[in-house]
Amino acid sequence: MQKVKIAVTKGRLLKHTIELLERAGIDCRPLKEDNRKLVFLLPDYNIEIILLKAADVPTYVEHGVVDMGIAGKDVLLEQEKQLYEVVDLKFGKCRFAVAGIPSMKDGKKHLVVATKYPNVAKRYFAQKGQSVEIIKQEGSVELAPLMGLSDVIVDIVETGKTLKENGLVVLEEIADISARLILNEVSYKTKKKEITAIIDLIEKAVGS
Amino acid sequence: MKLRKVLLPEGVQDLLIDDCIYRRQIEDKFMENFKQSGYMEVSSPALEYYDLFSRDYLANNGDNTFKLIDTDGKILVLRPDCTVPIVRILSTKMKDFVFPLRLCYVQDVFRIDEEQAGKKREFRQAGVELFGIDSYKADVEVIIIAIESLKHLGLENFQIDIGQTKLLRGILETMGVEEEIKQLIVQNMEDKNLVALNNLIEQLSIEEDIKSTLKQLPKLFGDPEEVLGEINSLPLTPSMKEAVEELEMICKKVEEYGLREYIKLDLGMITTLKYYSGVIFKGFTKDLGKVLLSGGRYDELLRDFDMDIPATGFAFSVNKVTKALKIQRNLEVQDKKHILLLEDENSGATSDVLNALRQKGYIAEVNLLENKKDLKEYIKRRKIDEIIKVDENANINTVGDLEGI
Repeated sequence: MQKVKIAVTKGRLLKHTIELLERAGIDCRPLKEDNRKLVFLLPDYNIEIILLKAADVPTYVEHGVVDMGIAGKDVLLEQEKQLYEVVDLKFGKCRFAVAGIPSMKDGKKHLVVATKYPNVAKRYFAQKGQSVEIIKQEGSVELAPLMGLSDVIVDIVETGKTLKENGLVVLEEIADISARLILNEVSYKTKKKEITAIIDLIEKAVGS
Repeated sequence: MKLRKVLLPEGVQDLLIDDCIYRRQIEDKFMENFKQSGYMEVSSPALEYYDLFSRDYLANNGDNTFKLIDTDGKILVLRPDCTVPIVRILSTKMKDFVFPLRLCYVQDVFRIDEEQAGKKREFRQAGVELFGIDSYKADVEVIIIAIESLKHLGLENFQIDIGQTKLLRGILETMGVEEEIKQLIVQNMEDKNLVALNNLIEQLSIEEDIKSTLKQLPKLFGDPEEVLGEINSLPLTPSMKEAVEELEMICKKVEEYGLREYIKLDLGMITTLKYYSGVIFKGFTKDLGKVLLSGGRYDELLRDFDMDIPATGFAFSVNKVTKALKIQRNLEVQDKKHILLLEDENSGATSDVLNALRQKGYIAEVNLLENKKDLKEYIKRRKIDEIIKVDENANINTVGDLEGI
């Protein structure tokens, strides 16, 4: 059996990923050990797990240095990499939304948008025919409208709690987000047996 | 600003010494295979009119071409593709040629790719185009050339996946849904975005049979026999049956050449590039997660140039093939014996000696250094195999000890 390399997003998604893999019957004990390793071997199915920052997972998969990856749809929408998206893992659920102070609902001819997802924002407003200026942010996007840097923000919204605490409301919904299983286009062909087996296990676990 | 004087733009690279040797070696072997099969080399200019590539089905390339403005205001591009210029050559200069017409090339193509994505913006393509034959035998011929060329290079663990655009087209034809939805199905099928594809299909009001075939299609890839068995068990329309039969004949023919182990089928292989109109194929190795070659039948493209000539062909990405060979450690620089000739004031026989050595296949160079210390350093760093000297009587003597000079 050929080794299958899977890139997994560190942080929030990791816990869910481990749960999912365990439900699929894959022993994940090495992953739970508290250490600073970034590469783990799960001998059960000859799987190698690599931990990466969210934005790097699609890059590793596209270049084929890993065969599969688990990444949020938010990252996939922002990067539009050439890879296969095969299973909706149904965790890490949230949505892309436009948010701002409630009075922004009335609309404006030209909007200044602060976001960590410039491509998603650009595409969304272009499709609406709304003229915008996009300001790329690295974090705490909620601050931008409060400080007068932007009119609105485009960000992922989970419960809306952060928005509310900062006096912002969701103005428009853009898209639903959840974690996805992604594949390298060549690996899917050249390691069909191994990869199909893992997909089947994961699909079953998602369904259960 | 100063940095720009020494740095390279994104996506281009210098090739030094060994990499140049590899490139020549690989391209020579490709050309050897192409020419032995009756293909004739053509070369098109790097600059073309933008209009040549501006057709909507090429829009994929249209937006990421490097553009220049000519002195008369016309827009020029650096060639983003090799096939379209060759079709242009055919339509303007080779129409009266006898068919089948077999052409081949090795050229650079230029595309604007996402910066810092580790992708090349200038890369080499080596390929063949076969014009004038609409039988599956032409498709087989180019597939065989792809396989034989990679074998000749010593590449291991590779496979050619063959797909059929007529299959999905056959399904879509029978469906009474909007063109936009069909496009979306094709797009999601190409991206193998099974999540979006399944959601989309579920929402359509079409027969359950078609739904299940559409959902199955992206999963139908692998060993030819298995895949053909699976597709034949699905409900097929006559046009789909015909498309499958064509694949069957291709597999059988490749098998007759004894190359069955190299081919797989992928019925979900789709291309949004509209100019492909039949059998398409791609080559991979499991050692590199990138496509090494791609090609297929593109009769439609020629129709656009007002020619009713069938065409098929493919192109290797020379950079990707090189990378795969490097990963497999199947690239070697042939080690030639390297000889350094120390010139003697009294000897006039130097050029005869050099010619004789070079004819034997050795690398023979003349020493140009005066200083003994520099010479020693040079010999060491350049890994010179032998140092010789010619005496007055034109006798060649090996110099064992530099101290004695």
